Amino acid sequence: MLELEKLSDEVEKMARGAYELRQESGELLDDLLQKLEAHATAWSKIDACLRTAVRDLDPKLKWYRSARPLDAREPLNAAIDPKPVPAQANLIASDGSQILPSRHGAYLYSVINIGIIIYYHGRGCAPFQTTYPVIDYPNGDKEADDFVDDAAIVNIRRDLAEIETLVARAQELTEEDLPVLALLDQRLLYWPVGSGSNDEGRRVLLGWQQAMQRARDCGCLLAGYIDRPGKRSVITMLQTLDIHKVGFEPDSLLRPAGGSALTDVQLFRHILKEPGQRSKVFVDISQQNEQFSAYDADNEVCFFYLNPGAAGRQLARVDIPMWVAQDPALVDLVHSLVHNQCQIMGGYPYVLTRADELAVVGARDRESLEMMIATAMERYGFYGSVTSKQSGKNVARAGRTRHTGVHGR
Amino acid sequence: MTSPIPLPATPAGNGQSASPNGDEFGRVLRASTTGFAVGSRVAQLEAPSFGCMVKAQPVDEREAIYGLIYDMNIDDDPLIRRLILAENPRQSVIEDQRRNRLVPIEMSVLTIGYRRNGQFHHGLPPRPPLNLDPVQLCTDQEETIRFTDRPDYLRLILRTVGGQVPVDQLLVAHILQTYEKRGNDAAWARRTIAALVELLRNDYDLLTVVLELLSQALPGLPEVAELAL
Repeated sequence: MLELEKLSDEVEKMARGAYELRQESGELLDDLLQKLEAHATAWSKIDACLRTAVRDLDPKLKWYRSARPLDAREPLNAAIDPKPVPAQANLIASDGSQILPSRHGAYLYSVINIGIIIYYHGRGCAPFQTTYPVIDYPNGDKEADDFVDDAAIVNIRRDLAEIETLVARAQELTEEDLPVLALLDQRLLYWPVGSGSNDEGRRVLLGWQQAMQRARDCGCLLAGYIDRPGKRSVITMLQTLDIHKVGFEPDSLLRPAGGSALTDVQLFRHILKEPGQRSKVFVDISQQNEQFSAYDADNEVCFFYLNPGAAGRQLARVDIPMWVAQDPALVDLVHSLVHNQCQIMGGYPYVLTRADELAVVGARDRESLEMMIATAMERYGFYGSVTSKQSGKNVARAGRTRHTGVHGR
Repeated sequence: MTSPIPLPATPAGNGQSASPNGDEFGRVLRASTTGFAVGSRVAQLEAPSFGCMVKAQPVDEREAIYGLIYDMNIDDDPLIRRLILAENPRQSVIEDQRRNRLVPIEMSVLTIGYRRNGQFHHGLPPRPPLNLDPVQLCTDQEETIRFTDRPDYLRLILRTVGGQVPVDQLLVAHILQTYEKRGNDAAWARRTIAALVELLRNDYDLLTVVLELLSQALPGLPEVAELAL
């Protein structure tokens, strides 16, 4: 139960703070836009400044997140319209959801569910859809306590399952002589947050990079779609252009410009004004991307910003691997197909909406699964019960029922 | 990760094939003694219509339960509402909504009798059908003739007056369909309408509406028009 009136003062404060921050960052944004215009084709200077930043920040380089222009083909401030969409193509999207293990449940288990949808662009037929649910449980080689503590691992395994399943299904589609675009609902430059240094984190990261390689090997265009991205890499790149000025502190590049409110999206919102327009392609500069590149140069992650076409909505970011980014025709293909998908729903790819719908495990699904588990366990003489804590929660959250009346005249 | 399911050979393969039983158009979603709801896929929607006589036909020895379709529901959701706002939804998206998402289409059936040991009974069944029992259209002429020969089942329709069932429209649709299915059986139509007049003698408003509608639907039976006057 949330007593809203107790929050009203804080909500007012929050809105006022956001307004003040916008006023402050407005001036900085104007400066950045001017800098973008002034350096639209200053490729040598950009390259030199980025090299200096990498050299000067060496011990702290892991915190430096910037971007560099992929090539000199288009200026920094380019707004590129989508090319005509191909007559036919196959689009495939995946998404995942999970049930985390609960110490308070009747039985200890976790579930990962991956939803897949294949959209046959240009053919007018219904998409193909399917799901891949997997259940995990303590099975003798793992103590129950460890299983519960591994909850974070379920999330990164779900991420890996999303891309592995996506690429496996996409490989089958490439047998047809049509472009195949495999779309993920997350960044391509994956990093297992909190697990990057442990064995499972390394295994997931390796699996992710291998999946990217398989997509390339079968000629499947891979892209990650990020709605409302918070990246500030291009802004950092523009700030880096001052690195040779007297008195410039390189460490300032490690802090977000204008506070956390200013992102690349605000910058490109002034450039990508028409629906469907994309930015120039940039290469992500980060230690994570260096690792991706070191594993396979084609895995290095690039990105462009996209106006998905909905009035009043944020821009999106589209991540693509280097082998796609380096071929202008493939970038055009990804651009036009993603934009075409966004037109269906008015601002977000239709296939991603449907993949999410397929993947999500609702409360009713969970209840049914727990009933199935309980029935199976009872056949073998196991009778689980929820803890008192969970029982109390279930009762209090159960909701009310309505008397539906007596029928008849 | 489980081993992947093979993809369909062609884009058309969406598991939406018609039922192996030509008359089956759906399965029981939920039921009570007085009626049941049927879930149906879009691909099965062509045959059933308002007023159709159907039967829940259990695969075991339980009773077959007969009823009339009196309502069909096609629900929306937020995604449908969003797509409605888009101009000219694409055919593939429409097919996706109809074949993959909008299942089941729900039909409401009013129970009008049952069959046990080969005998038809015009009363409420001893037990309702179970979830997922197949539901078939009653297309067999002999079965229709036998079930509708006596008009007693009309009482089960009339007892719903004032409820959710559009009784006047349902009676007209049923009588018209059955008249045709019985081979334009005018004698049956006269008997049934006479029975209706008797059963509705205390509900003149409903009777008048039903007779007016029937006189328009059955112009070959002038006596119905005379009754309506």
